[in-house]
Amino acid sequence: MSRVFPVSPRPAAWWLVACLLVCLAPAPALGMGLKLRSQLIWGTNDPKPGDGKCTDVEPAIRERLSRVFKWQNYYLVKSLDVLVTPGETPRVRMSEKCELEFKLVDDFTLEIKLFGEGKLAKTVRQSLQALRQGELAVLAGDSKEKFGDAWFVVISQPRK
Amino acid sequence: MTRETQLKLQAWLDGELPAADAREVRRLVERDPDAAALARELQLARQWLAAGETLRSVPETREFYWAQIARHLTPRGTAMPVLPQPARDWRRWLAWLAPAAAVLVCLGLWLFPRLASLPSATARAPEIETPADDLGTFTFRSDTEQMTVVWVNAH
Amino acid sequence: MSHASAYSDASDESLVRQAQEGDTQAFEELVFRHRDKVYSRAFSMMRNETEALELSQEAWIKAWQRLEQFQGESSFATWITRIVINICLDAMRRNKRLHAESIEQLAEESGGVERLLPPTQVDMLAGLERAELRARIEAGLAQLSQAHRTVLILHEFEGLEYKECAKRMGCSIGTIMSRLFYARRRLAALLADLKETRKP
Repeated sequence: MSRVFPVSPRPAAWWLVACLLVCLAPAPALGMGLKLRSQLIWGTNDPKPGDGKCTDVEPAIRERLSRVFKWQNYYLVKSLDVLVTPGETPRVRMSEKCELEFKLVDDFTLEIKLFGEGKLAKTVRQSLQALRQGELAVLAGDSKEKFGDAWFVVISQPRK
Repeated sequence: MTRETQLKLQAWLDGELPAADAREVRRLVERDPDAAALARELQLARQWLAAGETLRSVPETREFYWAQIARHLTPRGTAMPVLPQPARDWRRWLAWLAPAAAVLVCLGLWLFPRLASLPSATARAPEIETPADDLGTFTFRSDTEQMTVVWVNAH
Repeated sequence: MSHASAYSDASDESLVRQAQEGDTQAFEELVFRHRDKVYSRAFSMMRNETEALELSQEAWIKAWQRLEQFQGESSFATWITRIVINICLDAMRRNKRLHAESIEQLAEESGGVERLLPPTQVDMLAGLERAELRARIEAGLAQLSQAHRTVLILHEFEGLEYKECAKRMGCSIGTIMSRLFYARRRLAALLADLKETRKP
């Protein structure tokens, strides 16, 4: 221990300093805002449409979705990165009918509002800690346009 | 063969005919080739169905299927746990311990989120909350896939 | 032993007892074990994936609500299967599908075309593997009306007596006998046709 600390350690004092540093430290990254990725994904058993509107979903996400849901194919319709800063509520349009609004409730909670055709459909709160650890927050539903298909809005923190 | 005889023959094969009628039907099958042929056919149908039905797999994952059931399960009434009465000697200690514990709990509550938000912190279970919960949606989580899903039903 | 494996290693009886005390994880394990059987029965009766899914889930919810009534007189699998059958029968009644479809109804009630058909004498399914045999039967059952299929399921798969079938289907014993007769003869004829059309 004496080699590590150039001066003789006083445990109580060190504890005090450590506690003060921890208490004063700001929550990571939130000062600069939180970067999120929002992806609109289509779940279907049909092959990929040839109109070029959809692309392949990142394999890691596709595999995770296919292990939870029944659909064989997942196609990316739209992907947006959004920066959420404290006090701001950025709103993004994922499709003609679907919009999302993000808000940092506190240092630990993200609030996501889902709007369908302009109307609030759902408010979800998600732990930032979980997102940082790779959690996917998924809002999903059955497709109104094609029976048997489903839409997914997958919110994650992009890997740096 | 009349309709009634046909149905009697079937009931005989199904073991649902009284003994007297059963003897009569057996004699009919022995002497009438049409009755024997019909009995054979009905027996074949029974034999085939004895193979049972095809077992189909639920076309949903376990988690998804369960989540839709789980949201409708009402909790059963559970008895309040009976806490043991502390011994008289301990009460004196508790008088000191309780405030100390309260201070520690407050400190812990204040420190924990900060420690947990550090990259090296122990993993904390993710949380999802749906304040505007309504009947049309349900939430479930896949631990293995680290995924929280809010399924919004179309109306 | 982990918590999860404690559930997966437990017997149905033990899981039922735990679920009766309010343990939803024990109930989830029961769902996991028997969900395919329950879904299959619902599918056999409804012939529709979406309906079968919804009704099978409804059966599990009802089972949870009535779990305290389960005293172990039968196996849990039998008990939950009976629940799903009743739920499917209710759904059919709501959709008025238990009244056999018109042409078949007429045929059945008038003494029927099945009286004129020569009986099938050859076991056209003899020698088939069990899976293929089931597939053929499945194809045949799919072509029957819901009322006729249901009576076969109750009588042949569930082993219910005429009286019990009649009670569940809400009709007379005579109707059950008549439907059963028609359903068996029709199935034999359908399977004979199936064999003819599949000849190389």
